Amino acid sequence: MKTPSNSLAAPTHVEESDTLDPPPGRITAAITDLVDGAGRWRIWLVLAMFDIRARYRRSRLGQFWITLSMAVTIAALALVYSVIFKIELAVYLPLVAISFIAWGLIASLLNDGATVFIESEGYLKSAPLPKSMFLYRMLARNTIIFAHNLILVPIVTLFFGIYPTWATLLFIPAFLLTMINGLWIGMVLGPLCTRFRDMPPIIASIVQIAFFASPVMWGRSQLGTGNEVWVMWNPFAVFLELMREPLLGKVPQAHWWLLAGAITVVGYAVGFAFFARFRSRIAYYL
Amino acid sequence: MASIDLEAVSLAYPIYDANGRSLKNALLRTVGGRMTETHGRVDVQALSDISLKLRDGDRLALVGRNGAGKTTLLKVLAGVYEPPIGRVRISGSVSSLTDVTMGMDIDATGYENILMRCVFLGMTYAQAKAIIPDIEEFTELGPYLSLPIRTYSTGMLVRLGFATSTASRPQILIMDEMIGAGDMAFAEKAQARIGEYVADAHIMVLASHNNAILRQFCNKGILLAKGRIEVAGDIETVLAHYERTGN
Repeated sequence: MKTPSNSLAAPTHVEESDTLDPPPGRITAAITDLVDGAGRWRIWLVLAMFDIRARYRRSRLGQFWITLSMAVTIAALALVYSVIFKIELAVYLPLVAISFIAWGLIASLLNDGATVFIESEGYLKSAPLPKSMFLYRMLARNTIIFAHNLILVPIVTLFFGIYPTWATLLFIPAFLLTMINGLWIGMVLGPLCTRFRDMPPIIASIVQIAFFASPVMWGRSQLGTGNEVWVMWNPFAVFLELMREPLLGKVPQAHWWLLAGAITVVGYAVGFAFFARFRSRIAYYL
Repeated sequence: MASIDLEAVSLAYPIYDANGRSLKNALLRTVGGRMTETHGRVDVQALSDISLKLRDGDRLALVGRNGAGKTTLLKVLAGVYEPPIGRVRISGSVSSLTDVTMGMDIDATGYENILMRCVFLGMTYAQAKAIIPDIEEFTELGPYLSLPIRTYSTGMLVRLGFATSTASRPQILIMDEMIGAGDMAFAEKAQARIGEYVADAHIMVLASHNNAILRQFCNKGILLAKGRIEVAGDIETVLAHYERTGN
């Protein structure tokens, strides 16, 4: 029997034909969220572009401040540390430029992953949007920022006589792999940091420490034999090496690719489980 | 066809105070007396055992005192909250018109904000651009649309928010208090537009304390008390009961 379309009363018993399908499991809901979120690329692309525009609005240089401030930082670092480390500027500057730009992406994926849902509170509390949409927005925003910094790489390398090789093309998979890892980082840090508001500063501190512990300002060879092991198993160094070596015209060692692959697989196993478990709670945490 | 089905939905809000949000306190939870009892977390039972069925043509009024669960129920119906207990099935495009200025960037121009909001409502860029003349005409903002909206007066902002929010026609419309504002001339225009907007929706749910507005727009009602449905039925029965028992 079909219930009349205008029936509203709370049913005391529910007829067979009216029982709702069992609610989708957490796993299904999480997959739906990730797929739906990707489908709304128009929204997260616009949001990402507005994020950048909002930051540099009413300034004459606009978003090219990203490029300029990075250039100034690199120049200052290179001048000081080439003297401290007693390395020729022509060798040190391209190295530190590329390292610092690649590090900037890694660090900001972590820091932004922590605040990804907190910054979107207004939207998440009033509109039924897939949570993953805000993860994609964060990735898109960081891609745009990274692209602005990347402009400096050909300028610096060509100036110091480092020419692209076939190995330079390996930068593309290295970059994509880094962004793919950015997604699971957001799936873990996003809900966690929304629930525990002490976490974003903790993440920021960890990233700061990792900066000094990773070969951004210094090269692996400077550690001396026996100490290299500290870098070889540093997850931050993995993605740094993978993006840096191709830009310097070199092929990254297989070691880094293998480690990056392992981090991706483990990261997604943990990240997906985390996202599936806590996705629906995010709205309550805000 | 749009439809909403809720079956035995219950929802408890975890309220995290500053202590509950702190990782330190979560880790040191066994220490101290009072914290152990509360864990810094208070659960507020916002909805209990809510079942309802809405079909095309239904205009549901939600009434009840402050804190009865109206806004929480609206958020469940809008898909913002996924309740841990009970089943929810919503089919049809949903628009929740709670804050007409949501997502507006005060440094962006009126045109940019229109585009942004329309994309949020699920339009393509082309569709959003096509809707601009309609909004230009309705808001009467003229050259102001090319200026950043931080230069707008409150009334102008409401005009823009109202026009863009009502630019798309959702199948299911969720509202917390009836929207509409502005100066006298605009109020009339706004009323005409909201009338059309509501008429186009297959299902509408409206929470309000204004019984006259509820009588005008709704044909059914639910009286909520302490998160439970106390009375459900046609609008007159529910409002009569609500008015009798006292607001």
